[in-house]
Amino acid sequence: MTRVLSGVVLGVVALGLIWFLSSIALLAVAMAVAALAFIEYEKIVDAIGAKVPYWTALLATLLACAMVPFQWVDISSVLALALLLIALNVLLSDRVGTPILADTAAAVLAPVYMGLPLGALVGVHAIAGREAVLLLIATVAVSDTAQYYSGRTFGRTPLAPLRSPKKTREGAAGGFIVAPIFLTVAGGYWLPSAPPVWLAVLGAGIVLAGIIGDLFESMLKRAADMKDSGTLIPGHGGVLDRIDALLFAAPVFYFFLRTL
Amino acid sequence: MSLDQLLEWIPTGGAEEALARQIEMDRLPRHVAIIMDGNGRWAGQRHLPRVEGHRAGIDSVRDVVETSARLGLDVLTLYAFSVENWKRPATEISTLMMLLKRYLRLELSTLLRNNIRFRVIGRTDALAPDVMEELLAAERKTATNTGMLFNIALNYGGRTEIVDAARRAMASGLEPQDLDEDRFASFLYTAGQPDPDLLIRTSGEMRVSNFLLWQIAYAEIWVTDTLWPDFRCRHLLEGVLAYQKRDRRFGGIAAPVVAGVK
Repeated sequence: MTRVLSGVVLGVVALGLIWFLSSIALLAVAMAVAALAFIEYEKIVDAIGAKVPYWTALLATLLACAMVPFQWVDISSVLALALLLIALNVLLSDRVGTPILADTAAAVLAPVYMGLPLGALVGVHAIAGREAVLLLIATVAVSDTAQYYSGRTFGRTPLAPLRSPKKTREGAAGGFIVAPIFLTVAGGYWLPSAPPVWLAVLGAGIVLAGIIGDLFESMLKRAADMKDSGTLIPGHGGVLDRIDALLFAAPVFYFFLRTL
Repeated sequence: MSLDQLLEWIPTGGAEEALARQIEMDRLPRHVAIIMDGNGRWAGQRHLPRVEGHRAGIDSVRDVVETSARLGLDVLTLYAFSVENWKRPATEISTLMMLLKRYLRLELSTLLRNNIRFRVIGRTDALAPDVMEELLAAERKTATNTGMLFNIALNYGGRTEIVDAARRAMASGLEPQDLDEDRFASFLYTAGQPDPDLLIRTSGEMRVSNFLLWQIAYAEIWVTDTLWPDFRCRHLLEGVLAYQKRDRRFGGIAAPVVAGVK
């Protein structure tokens, strides 16, 4: 019951924010989400055994998120600055040996893994409108749902036993069939300028990115021996658990819109 | 092309269909010319860099080209880049040219499917070779199409065109007394094409901006506040309807509406 209720509340709030906020205001929300995701990420990384320079990596994540949608500063400059600050922090720490590389890599991953995708989501809002953001989120949700039910019904062969014992190839196939069809039909109304074939390809891209995002987050949690990324959302785990597929799918969608 | 072909393309029951059904198909403008203005303002409203406005404007071009062809216009001319636009930042110009190339590559199938003939007007020799190559290829591949003529004005200026025409007239060895309006028009970039009946400008500006100066002598001008990236089929149909309500006299007087009334 808690799970259903918090799911509905979360969904309504998210839809409301996307529908009624301007792109700039939505960026503030995205940065808040990025900060929450970062806090969970830092705990996971800590449990795995790496130490990220907390404030520097958080700042880099927020900056990366902020500079994507409106292109205020070239994103490569932001990442270069982030690397500079992170490297300086690692240099000043008392850690030696192999962990140094893990610390640096885990810190640089933060803006790339959470900052850029949440920025891209706002970018979709800015260039193509709120309908396009909802279309993206709906496609990810349809893909997840199709994978869940076709996996439950037909699931036989594990997809990636080492990463996630529950995911099956049959489930993935369900996602690859249903989500592109959904995007082609729904996109006909909400992204009318895109040819149907492209929408289908984009749909498959979103499914693939979503599965990778899902498995990637599971892998991190497994390595950290955690079940959920956090406890922020009653019955749903943490923020990262909710947006894992979206983090990989949003850049695919954003790239598609800007290349079309 | 006809009303049926337009109706099968636009959503049924929408505003577009209602507008399309009001249009008198036997009184269409033969030539519609459009000054595509407002990309920068559109981007500014969204805090995006100007180039994003141009990117978004491509969708409008797609929509308007296909609408025009299906409606059955003879000629559509879009003002894409003027001789004065070189004053813009180099990055904006290079993005515009990149978008143009990509548009041509992606939309060639649409042009062919709709039997559209593509042509460039302007001082094209000043354009970069790679852009030129793409333009010429599109012209060549659509040269045998017999439907709508789609002019794109690139490095175009109305006065430049008139100067170029005068130079060509002089170079042809024409005697001054043999030059008349029709003869002169045959030296313009738009030789052989009907003059625009309807000139549309988006983004609410009341200017002609050096566009088709000779040809718009009797064009009806319709200005809409809609910014170019928001301009779609519906707006074009609104423009055509506004045109059909105008009383075009070409310097004469209005014909009596009903004989015997006075």
